[in-house]
Amino acid sequence: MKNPTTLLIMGLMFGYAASALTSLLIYFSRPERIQAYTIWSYGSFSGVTWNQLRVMAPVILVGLGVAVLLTKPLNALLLGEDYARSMGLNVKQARFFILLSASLLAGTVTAFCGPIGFIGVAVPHLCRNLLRSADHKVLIPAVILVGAIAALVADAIAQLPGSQYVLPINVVTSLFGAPFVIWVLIRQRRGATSFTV
Amino acid sequence: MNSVVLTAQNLTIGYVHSRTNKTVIAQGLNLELHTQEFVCLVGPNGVGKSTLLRTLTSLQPKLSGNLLLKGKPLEKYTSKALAKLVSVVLTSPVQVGNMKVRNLVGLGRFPFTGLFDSRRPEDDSAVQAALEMAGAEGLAERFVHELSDGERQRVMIARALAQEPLLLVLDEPTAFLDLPGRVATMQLMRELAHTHGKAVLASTHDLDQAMHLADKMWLMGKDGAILQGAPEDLVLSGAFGTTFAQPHLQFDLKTGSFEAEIKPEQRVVLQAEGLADIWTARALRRAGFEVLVDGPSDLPRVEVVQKSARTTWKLLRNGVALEFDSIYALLLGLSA
Repeated sequence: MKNPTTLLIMGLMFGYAASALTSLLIYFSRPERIQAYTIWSYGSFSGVTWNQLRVMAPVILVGLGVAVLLTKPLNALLLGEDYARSMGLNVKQARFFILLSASLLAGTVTAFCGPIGFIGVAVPHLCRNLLRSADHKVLIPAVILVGAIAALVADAIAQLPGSQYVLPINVVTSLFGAPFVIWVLIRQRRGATSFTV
Repeated sequence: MNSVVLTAQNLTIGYVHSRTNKTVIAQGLNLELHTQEFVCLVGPNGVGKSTLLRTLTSLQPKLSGNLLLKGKPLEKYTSKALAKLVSVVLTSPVQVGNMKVRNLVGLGRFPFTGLFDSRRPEDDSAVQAALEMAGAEGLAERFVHELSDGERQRVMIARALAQEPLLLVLDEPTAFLDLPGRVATMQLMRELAHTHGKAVLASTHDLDQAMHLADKMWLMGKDGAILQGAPEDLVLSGAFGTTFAQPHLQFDLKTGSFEAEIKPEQRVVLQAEGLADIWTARALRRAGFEVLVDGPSDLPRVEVVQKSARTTWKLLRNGVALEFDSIYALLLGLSA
């Protein structure tokens, strides 16, 4: 898929299809299940029990392990698939493992903590700009650390210190994340930094 | 000394859409690439130059025929072994942010490093050597997105050289460059072949440069056939003119360049000397005049007078004499 517009529209369509499926499920659900779903969709770290962690942690570790092993292929892909292939990379295989790692990490966290927006989009760009590097040898450990820190900071803000209210974590990450992504895009347009999509 | 690197025997190139449906772009190609030789692939747009280059570098499968790299079929090589012999510079400009030139060139060491991409001293020295060969050592610590197009092309060539290839294949490396950049890039490719012993194959639309610098030309026509030879061979045989033939475009067999055809509508007599003569005549021809050295006195007459570093153009027409201080003014005066 070479055309980014095609990719964008495909993404939108998948989004619509998935949300239609969700609506369908909600429509046929009992009210208390719907309430549980709504709470899950706000996102929360406090709902995860130790028992759940026993499942979540190993899967996450496998996903992270695969990501670390992908350092070299990801670097080769910086110049595009043709260059990567010309340097001897098996692009199909690399793509499979990249998708595997991303799916394991994003899927597991979403299953247990709800859909937490913007950390996944914003943190890698933040790291690239902060470290002024495109080398995944640096970026992968940096993204793991900065991502964890960002999630914890967002959670701390969500707990609203000094109040009994707990905000949905998705609200916090979106409030900070959306302006950040817009800022990155504007900077990119000015040519101050350019990064690969 | 000069050994065969790549051989294509009865090669058919094209695209496979499905098991039964394929597009053949060219067939029956017999080609050879040698070390120390700079070959330019030229031809009109859309004849399949990129397809040929992609097939020769195994980025795209051939439809039939044989491709031998150092005498061994291309498909018998592992992708890593192939990457140590053949490297490419592709036509689309790369956009990568936050990356230093040295790191980008270092990507070329991919086939030589292990799972964790740790660098040995010989990797670093190969990167340095590649930067020097491409004349990009001064750019090493700059960011890629800050480079000019010409500098970026140098860096992409350096990256290809970091693979320490025997064969370097470049797809329109001069496409986005200004004239000095194009000349420099073509000279660099020639130097890589002659001084560093690589086999260099580049597709280009820069016929002028290719004709001056290439050792051999592959001229690809609309039917997919490829004519080979020294650039001068192709000019003499008339292959050049026919391949690029178009209405209103003439291939000048004397200068070896293409010129837009302008039909002269009037005649003028020009009296001048040296460079002023050449360039004034050229301007007059462009303006639609047939330029004569001598002629009947009823024709307009232009005289170039050079007096102490000052050049003036005198126009004598219908008994009226006018004087101009530039060719541009002269042409305006003639059309008045």
